[in-house]
Amino acid sequence: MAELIEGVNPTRMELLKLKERVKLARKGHKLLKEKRDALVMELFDVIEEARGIRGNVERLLREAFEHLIIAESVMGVLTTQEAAMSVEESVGVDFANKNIMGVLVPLIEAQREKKTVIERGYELRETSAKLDEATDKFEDSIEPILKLAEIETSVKLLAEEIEKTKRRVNALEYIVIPRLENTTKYIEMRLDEMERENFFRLKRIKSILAAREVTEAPA
Amino acid sequence: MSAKVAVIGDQDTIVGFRLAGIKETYEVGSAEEAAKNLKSLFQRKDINIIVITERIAEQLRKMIDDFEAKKEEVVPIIVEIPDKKGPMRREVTPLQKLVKRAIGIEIILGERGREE
Amino acid sequence: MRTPFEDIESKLLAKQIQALNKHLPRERKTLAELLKEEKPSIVCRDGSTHRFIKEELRKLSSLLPTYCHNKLRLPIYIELGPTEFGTGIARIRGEEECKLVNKILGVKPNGDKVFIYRPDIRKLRKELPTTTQYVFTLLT
Repeated sequence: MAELIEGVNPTRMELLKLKERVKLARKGHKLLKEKRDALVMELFDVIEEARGIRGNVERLLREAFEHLIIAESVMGVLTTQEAAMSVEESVGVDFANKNIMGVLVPLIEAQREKKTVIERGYELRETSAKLDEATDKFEDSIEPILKLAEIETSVKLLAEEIEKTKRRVNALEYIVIPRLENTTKYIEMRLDEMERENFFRLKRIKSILAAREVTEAPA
Repeated sequence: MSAKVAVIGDQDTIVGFRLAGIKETYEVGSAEEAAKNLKSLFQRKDINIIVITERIAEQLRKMIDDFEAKKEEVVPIIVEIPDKKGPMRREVTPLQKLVKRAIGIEIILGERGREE
Repeated sequence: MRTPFEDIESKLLAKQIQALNKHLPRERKTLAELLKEEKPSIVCRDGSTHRFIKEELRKLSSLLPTYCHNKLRLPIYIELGPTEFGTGIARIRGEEECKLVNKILGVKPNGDKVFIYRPDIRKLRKELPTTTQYVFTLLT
């Protein structure tokens, strides 16, 4: 049996107050459960998305490395490296948030100028078409990688919020509400007892008074 | 807010992402080197995303876990990718553990799953 | 008749509801306004900024006739709360909002409000992840 709230006076006022509190705590509990359920629903959808994207990243990178390894074998590792070093910076991220029930989930978007072969900056004469293909594939993988970062972070943040919400739901369900209910019952019991005691006390007083009347009555 | 992506990886991974236009790259040959670079990237305010290969990340698991547990902001986000040897098969990822705690269900985040 | 402590207690509940809705905007913006913004966003009650995905705004603008664009306020509220019929039921209010729900989910609105159930809530959230927002409220 759950505990009682300490220091509550067994009065009618207190009883009314407690009954109101139980009612409201139940409402609060239901609302929190709605939030928990909505969060779980969101998490499921994000997990589904994460699955597809991870697979996509894995596939794109596999292809990208295949092309790169061929390019290296055609051009030599050193030339490939030199070509890579001469490419200009072109990847930035636009970082924003969306707010899902208080969880600030990142929205990450690649800001990228997709370059033409000539704009890439490396000397065309020395490079093979394979290098361009590899470059294409690595470029293509950036967006899904950023999406993966976004989605995996969302999974993590939503999961954390679910844990927090669950703890609060459970605290209400297993501690707060039972304690309020028990205290309500306790006060009801005490009030009944007090009423009975009063009743008997009154009865006794009445009989004493009655007896006194009899003895004190003028003979 | 515009921010940067950094990559930590082996030689081929670095060449690949350099070609794709990322300049903030760190080629590492050992776990110590990777740890040193990762640590300094954690301090950088302009880096929002750190891409790291799974194989290297696995060697720095404790450091990454500690950082994830302690960081107060969402960024920098660490995202693990396969290297040229392909995706690593792992027992459970930290993310899976977290989801399991939250909703009590095992999930598989890879496309085919990591079990075979 | 309300007793004084009923008031105190319901203030506590009101506070809890407020805390559950901190992610709502201080002020909503119309679709027309947001379509003009370079990085469409609103400020939430918790002080954070909530970004809208442009593609979603475009989708909404294609679903609604142009004269409605300055009537639709975003985000659209999906009101969740315990009802006498059970949990997992949401209410969406507003003329434009109902039109959209009808177009996206094929659910017929009841005047200027519509009730939808979990599978439809999920579908709506998938279609409009940044332009809808949950609201927690006592529906009855």
